[in-house]
Amino acid sequence: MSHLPTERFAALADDTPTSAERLHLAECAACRRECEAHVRLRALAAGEWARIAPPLTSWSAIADQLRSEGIVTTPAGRGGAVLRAAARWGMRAAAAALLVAGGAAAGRWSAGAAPLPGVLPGEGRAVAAADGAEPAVAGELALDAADLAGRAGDSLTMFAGATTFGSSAEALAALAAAERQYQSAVAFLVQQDSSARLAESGPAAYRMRLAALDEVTAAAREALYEAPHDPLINRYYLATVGAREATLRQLNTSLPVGTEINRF
Amino acid sequence: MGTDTAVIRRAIAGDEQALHALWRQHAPHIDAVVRRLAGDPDLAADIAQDVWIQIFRALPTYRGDSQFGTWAHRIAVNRTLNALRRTRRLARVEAEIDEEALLVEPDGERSLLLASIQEAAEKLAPGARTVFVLHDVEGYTHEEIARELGITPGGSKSQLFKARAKLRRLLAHLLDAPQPATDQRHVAPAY
Repeated sequence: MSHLPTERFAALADDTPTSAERLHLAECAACRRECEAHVRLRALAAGEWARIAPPLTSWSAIADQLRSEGIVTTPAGRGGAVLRAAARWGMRAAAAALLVAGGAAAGRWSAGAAPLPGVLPGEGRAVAAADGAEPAVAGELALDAADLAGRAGDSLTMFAGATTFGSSAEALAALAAAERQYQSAVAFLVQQDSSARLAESGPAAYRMRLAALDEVTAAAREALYEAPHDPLINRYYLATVGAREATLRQLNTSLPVGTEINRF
Repeated sequence: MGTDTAVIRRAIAGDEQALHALWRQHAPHIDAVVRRLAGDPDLAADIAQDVWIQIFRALPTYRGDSQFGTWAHRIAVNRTLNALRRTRRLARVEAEIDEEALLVEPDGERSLLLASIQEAAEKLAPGARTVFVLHDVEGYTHEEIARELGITPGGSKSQLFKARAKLRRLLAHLLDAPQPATDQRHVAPAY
C-alpha cells in the first residue's frame, strides 16, 4: 500500500484505520508520525477550549447598555449608586461642553471661518454664541451649535463652577469619560438624524461626506503638525477620523448585496 | 464551573451586582469563543459586547436544564455566527464550502513559527476556521455544524480535514515529536 493521503491523516484523528491502513501504519514510520502529529493536534485543539484570555468586553460598557434597556433594575450598592449618579452628571455636563465646542467649531468651519482659532475648551460657548447671529450663512451646523449653546448654557455654568479635580489623572479620567459620551452622542445623532437623509440619497451622499471628512482630517492633521500637543486639536482629529470610519461602515451597509468596499 | 442559582435568580430580577458577577465569572470563556470564531480581534470585540447583551436579555428564559456556562456559551456561538453572517464573512464562507474553493488563505505559511493553535487558526480561511473551532475546540458534531452553517455534514468534514492538514503544517514545530535515530533512515512520503 502507498502512503496515506494528507487528508486521511486528518480524518484518522477521529476515525479508526481500515485493516489495510493499519498494516501500512505498522510498517511505515513516516505515516505513523503523521498520524501521531494529527492526534497531538486534536488534543491541542481540545485543550484550547479551556484556554482563557483577557476579556474583550468591559463591564461599564455592558452595564450602561443594560441600564438603558431597563434590564438592570437594582444598581449595585447604594453608595456606589450615588457616586455613579454623580459621575454620570459630571460626564453629561462634560459631554455637553465638548458637544458645544465641537458644534461651534463645525459651525465656524461650515461658515468659512477658521475652524480652530486656538479655541480653549471653556471658550466653546462664547464662540457659538457669537456665531449664533448668522445661522443663515453658517447653515445648519452653526444653527445647531447656537441653539445647543443656548440650551446648555446653564449646564455649562454649573459644570464650570462646580467641578474641581484633585489631580491631573482625575481630570484626564473625567475628560476620557466625557469624550466617550461625546463620541456616542455624535454617533447617535449621525445615526438618527443626518444619516437617515443620507441613506435616502444613496451611496453617493456617503461618498460626498467621506470626501468632506477627508478634507477636515487633512486640515486637522496639518494643525497637529503646528501644535502636536494641543489636546483640543488632537481630539478634533480623532473625532473626525472616528466619523470617517462610521461613515465608511454606513456606506458599506448601503451598497447593493454582494458589493463591499475595502478602502476609500 | 457551576454558577450559584441564587446569583442567577438575582440577575434575572435585574440586580446589577449579580449580573456583574455572572459576567466576571464567564467572560474569559465567552469572550474566548467569540475571539476564536471571529478571528479578527476588532471584530471580536464588537461582537462580544453584543453577545453579552443578548445573554442578559435571554436570561429570563434560562431554565437551569444545563450549566449556565454551557447555556451562555451556546448563545455566544449562535450570536457570533449571526454577526459574522451580517458582516458577510460567513455568507462568503458558506459559499466557499459549497464550492469547495479557496479553502485556506494562501498567505503566510512559509517562515511562520506560530506560538499557538489560535494564531495558526487565524491563518485559515473563515469557513475552515469556523468548522475547525466548532468541531475540534467547541465539540460540535458535524450534524450540528451543518445545521448551524446551512451546509452538509460531508461539507463540514471536508472543511475540517483540510483545516487540520493546514494547521498540522503551520504547527509542525509543536507537533513533530523528536525523531528516534532509526527513523532518519526512512524517506518521508511526498505529501
